[in-house]
Amino acid sequence: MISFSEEEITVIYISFKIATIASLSSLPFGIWVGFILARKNFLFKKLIVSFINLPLILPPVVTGYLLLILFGKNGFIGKLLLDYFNFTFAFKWTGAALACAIMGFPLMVRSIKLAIEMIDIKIENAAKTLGASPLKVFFTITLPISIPGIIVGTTLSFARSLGEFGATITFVSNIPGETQTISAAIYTFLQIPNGEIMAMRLTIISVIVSILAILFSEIIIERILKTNKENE
Amino acid sequence: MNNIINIDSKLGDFHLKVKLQLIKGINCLFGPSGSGKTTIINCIAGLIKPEYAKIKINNVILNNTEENYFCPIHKRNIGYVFQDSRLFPHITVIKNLIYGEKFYKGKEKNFKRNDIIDLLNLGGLVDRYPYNLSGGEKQRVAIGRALLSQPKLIIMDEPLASLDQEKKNELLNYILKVYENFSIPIIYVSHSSIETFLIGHKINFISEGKLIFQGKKIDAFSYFNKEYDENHTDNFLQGKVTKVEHKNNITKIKVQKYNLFVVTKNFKIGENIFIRIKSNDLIVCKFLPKGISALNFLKLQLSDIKIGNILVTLHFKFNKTLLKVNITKASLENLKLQKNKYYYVLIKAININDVMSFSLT
Repeated sequence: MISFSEEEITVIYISFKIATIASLSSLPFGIWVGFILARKNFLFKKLIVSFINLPLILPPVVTGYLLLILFGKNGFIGKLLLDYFNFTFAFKWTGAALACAIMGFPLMVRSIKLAIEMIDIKIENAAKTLGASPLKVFFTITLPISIPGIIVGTTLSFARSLGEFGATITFVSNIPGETQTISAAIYTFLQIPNGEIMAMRLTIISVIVSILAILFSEIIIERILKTNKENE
Repeated sequence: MNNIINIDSKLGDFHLKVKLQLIKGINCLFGPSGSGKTTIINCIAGLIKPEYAKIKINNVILNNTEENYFCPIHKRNIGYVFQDSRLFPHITVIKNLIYGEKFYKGKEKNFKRNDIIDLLNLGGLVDRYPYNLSGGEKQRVAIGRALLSQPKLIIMDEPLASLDQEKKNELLNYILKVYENFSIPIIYVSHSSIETFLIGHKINFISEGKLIFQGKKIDAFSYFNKEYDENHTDNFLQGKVTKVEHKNNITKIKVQKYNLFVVTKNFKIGENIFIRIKSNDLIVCKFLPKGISALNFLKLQLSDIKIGNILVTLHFKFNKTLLKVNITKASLENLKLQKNKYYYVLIKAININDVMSFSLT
């Protein structure tokens, strides 16, 4: 059996904490944006879609740097948060979570949007004729039917967060016990003499963790699809 | 019940302009595809916003464009049974059934869960998912679901369209049972004349966005035979059973002054029935034929000859209505048929397949 050192446990814990918070806290926004992009047409829609997809295309370092400019202690939003709420993302694990959430957001929105687009609007109209208000239709029909897509989106965002490196390290640096994730720790170990063994241990851990996460989501989706087959 | 349905709306090139009156019974909207039937009911249900409309059902105004009032779909209290059932795929039959019941705020429930499940014979289906149901079962669940939302009016849009003949008859019986048990007003949309005449109490003919006929079933028959230009294929006759020959499996029906023989023994003497005779199944003969197997001969006066693209439709006077007979252009030439002369029209008894019981309402 592998026994983990305290240092390793901290790194794994931080990685999971950041990835979980990043994917779950961006989920409501992901559903909202996914729904709007799937259903509504508005001015500059393509422009907004491009903007949401920006983190997918930009070098992560650039995203991290932009976050630093916006949310750093002297940044435009960061200063406001610090002055009025005494809260800062800078060099905190919450900052890492913010960076990961933004990096994973395009993937999350994409699969949620796709799932909502698949729903036949006629089914929703049927629900309305039965007395359900638009809000109730959303919560009783639209949302439950798109659950597989929502799970896929959340898993993708979670996986992206576990692997995120560039934006995080640029925005909140590499502080052990606070912002040092598995990826950052591997990088650190590779920089010091005789660190390869530690790096390899973490690499194996990260492979196992990633496989488990994907398996978990596959099992859940399969289970839902089994009871949730489309009409005909 | 006070109902006004008044719609005037342009959708592209299509202009819909109708004034309808509903009765407390089964109101049929009949017309070919694209005539505007579905648009009318979608306006009533609120799925479409017409340019001009005044719609009042059961004394409640649902749409009045003059006052800029449009009641949202979910507040209209109208049950809608769609052609494609539209059950919710992610929940079981029972949850589908009670979906609308949850949103009903009124005190008194006219439709009770167990009554509906019994009436529509859904007991064995409640725990299944929609993908596990046959077409007929889906439509039964859809009807039950609409009823349990406690509606004041039920709309059915071609509910039998996706079913085979046997299932069609079965579902029609369920629909009649719904009406007999609850006497809720129903709007039934169909392009099938037979369905329309079988269950309609009041029949509305829609053509190119206009209401061209409205009236009782009995008047609708003669209109359909005589004046409905789009009908070249069906004759609907109404008569009374006068004799049932069990040995030969033949029933004798008196249709006005004529006697017709049909192959059935399902009816009792004195029963009012209606039959459909297809225009393509009829034969015209200049003389009374001898030694022929056909059982029915009618001596009728030819009133009109309508030459179509492929066939010729002959109009024979049949008391106050018409009997339409389709023949080929070649036959018309060979026989040299002339207007106002009398000819014999032959019908094989076994070609009269649609014989239906009919209460004069």
